[in-house]
Amino acid sequence: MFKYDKKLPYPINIRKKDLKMARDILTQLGGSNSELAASLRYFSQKFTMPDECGSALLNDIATEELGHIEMIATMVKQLTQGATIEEIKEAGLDDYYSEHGMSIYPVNASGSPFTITFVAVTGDAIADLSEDMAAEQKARAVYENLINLANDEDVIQPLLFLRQREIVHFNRFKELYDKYKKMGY
Amino acid sequence: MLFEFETNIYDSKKNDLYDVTEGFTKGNMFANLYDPYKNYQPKEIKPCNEKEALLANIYKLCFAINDLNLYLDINSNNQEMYETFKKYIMMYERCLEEYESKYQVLELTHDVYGKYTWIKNPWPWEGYNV
Repeated sequence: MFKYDKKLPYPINIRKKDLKMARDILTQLGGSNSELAASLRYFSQKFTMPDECGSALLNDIATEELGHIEMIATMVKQLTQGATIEEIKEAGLDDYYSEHGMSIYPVNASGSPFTITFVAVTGDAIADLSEDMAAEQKARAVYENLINLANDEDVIQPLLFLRQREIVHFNRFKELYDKYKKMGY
Repeated sequence: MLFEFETNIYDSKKNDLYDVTEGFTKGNMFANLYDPYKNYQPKEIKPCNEKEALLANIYKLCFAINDLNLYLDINSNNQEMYETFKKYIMMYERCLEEYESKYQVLELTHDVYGKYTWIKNPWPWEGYNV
């Protein structure tokens, strides 16, 4: 089961409205390299890891990613707080708005909805961990693109934090991958 | 605060760990895994009052526990790291208890201070450093 803590992994207090940035950041909720994809990927894979280290690591990173989903959603919420219809149109969010209002719906930056086909799960620990390492690197690259697009420290700081988490996760997956290779998987 | 703690009381060189403030700020407790992006500088959170200072400690310790958790998942026989993990948990529990009794409950099962406050207190997405 999961227990909810009424706090984020890293605090988010964005004071300046920026709908274009919100639209870009939303891709980390609903895109192919999103936190949602990451969490579901590891959650699915944990059931077939060959030992207790694998079950634990996949379980615990999947859980951490749930907190990152809430961070991304929070950033989008705060960046769009108090937006006018004119601002929504100007940022190209009118299509999104007509379907979803100001709710936080998992789509990528181009507006395509999240799909579980983003996630590969094979039941083979080596294949799954290779997928996970690639996924963490792709997510890191997306965070770097987002940091390049951002110009507000309130936005950049949480993005830097999330980017570094991708690097840590990559390294932990790699350690596990190397361990399994040594064990003959 | 009822008690203060030093965040660098553990020999960070010995097991290559940052203190909890630096680790949280960088998003990573393990110095060998830190990989900065361009010239961007992660900034330390600056609390404005006692409430925010206590919450910042909760954030930092919670983060440190999580990062050590992932390490221990695949290095469970590292007893030294486990001892550090245990100490952070104890510090976290003390900070959390003080914060929750004074300001706001962060876990549902801690909502035991006389009346039901879970729906009253702000949600994380509402800002105010929560």
